[in-house]
Amino acid sequence: MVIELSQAIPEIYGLMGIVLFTATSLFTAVFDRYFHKGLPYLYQAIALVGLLQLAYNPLGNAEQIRALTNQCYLTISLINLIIIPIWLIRNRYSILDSAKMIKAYIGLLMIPAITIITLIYTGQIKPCLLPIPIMPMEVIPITIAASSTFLLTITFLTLKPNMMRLKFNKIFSRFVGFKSTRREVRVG
Amino acid sequence: MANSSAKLARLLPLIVLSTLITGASAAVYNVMYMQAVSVGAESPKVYFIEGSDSGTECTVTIGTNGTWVRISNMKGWPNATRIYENVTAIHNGDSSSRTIRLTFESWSGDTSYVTITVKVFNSAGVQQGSTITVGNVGSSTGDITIPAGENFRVQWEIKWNAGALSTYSVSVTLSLRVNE
Repeated sequence: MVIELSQAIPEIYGLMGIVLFTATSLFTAVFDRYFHKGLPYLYQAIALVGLLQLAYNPLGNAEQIRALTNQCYLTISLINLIIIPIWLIRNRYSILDSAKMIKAYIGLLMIPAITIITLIYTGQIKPCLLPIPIMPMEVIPITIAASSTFLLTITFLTLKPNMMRLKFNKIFSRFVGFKSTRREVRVG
Repeated sequence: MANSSAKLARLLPLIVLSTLITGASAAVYNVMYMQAVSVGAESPKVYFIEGSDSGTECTVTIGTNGTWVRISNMKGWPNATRIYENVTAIHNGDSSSRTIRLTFESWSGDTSYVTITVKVFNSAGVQQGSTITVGNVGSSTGDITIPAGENFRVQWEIKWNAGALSTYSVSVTLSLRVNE
């Protein structure tokens, strides 16, 4: 069998990596009792870095550099994808409700992702224009800035809620005298 | 219940952010996928040149680079066919043969009083392809091969109806398609 390597532009690998990181982010957020609370946000941040490199790496860089960067990014996302179930089995097996979760993860996310990437890499699947409107390049920095701010805010809201509450009170009490309070119930 | 609400509140911003990041990434990829680099210009390989009837029987204006031509002052008598044998010619300046096709595009004016046909001949006087009947949508010579360095002359045949007045006129547009 002759394997013809894909002639697709290298950014397809970067895009696949971003999709995988956002998917794992949502997965770790849904099953957050097995993972650290900050992990979904870390994956989102890595996906955001992926978008950043996708947008600015092609500017002035040679084809080889672009290919290398995008393939490295995809490799990291694939390693991460494979590590998750192994880590779950090794460290969280005792508290896992059932093995169905891991089976679903492997069957619905890991195997399809690896298959699609292999098929694209070997040229069996030809990437095409995605049915998404083309975004003007001028909007990309705004999108990245807005996403970063949003990500930082939700990360702090989850990991440091008290700090955010204090900030919120400080800002809003100046204008409307509004204060967010935390109701505490003492027992006994 | 409170726990699942808190989880939903954490999950919802993540879904929004995921959609934003993947959507923007896909849009960036689309821009790159459609990227065309080093789009250059080159001199035309097939172009129009003036024929022997130019200047004497009618006026032929060749555009810059020979990629368009305007023929004016062609006339015809009512109830008689006027033939302009060599108004303009198509020249293949390439080192290899090319496939060309001359096609009727549109016409306007007093079109119901006139019959015009256009034919293409090689240097040996043999007609190339089919006769173009002006007014018939899609009428063309069909694909014809012009050898390297060859000139194919374009012949116009004009026949006005018996009742045509000297004030009548028509304008015709043909297109020349050259295959790479």
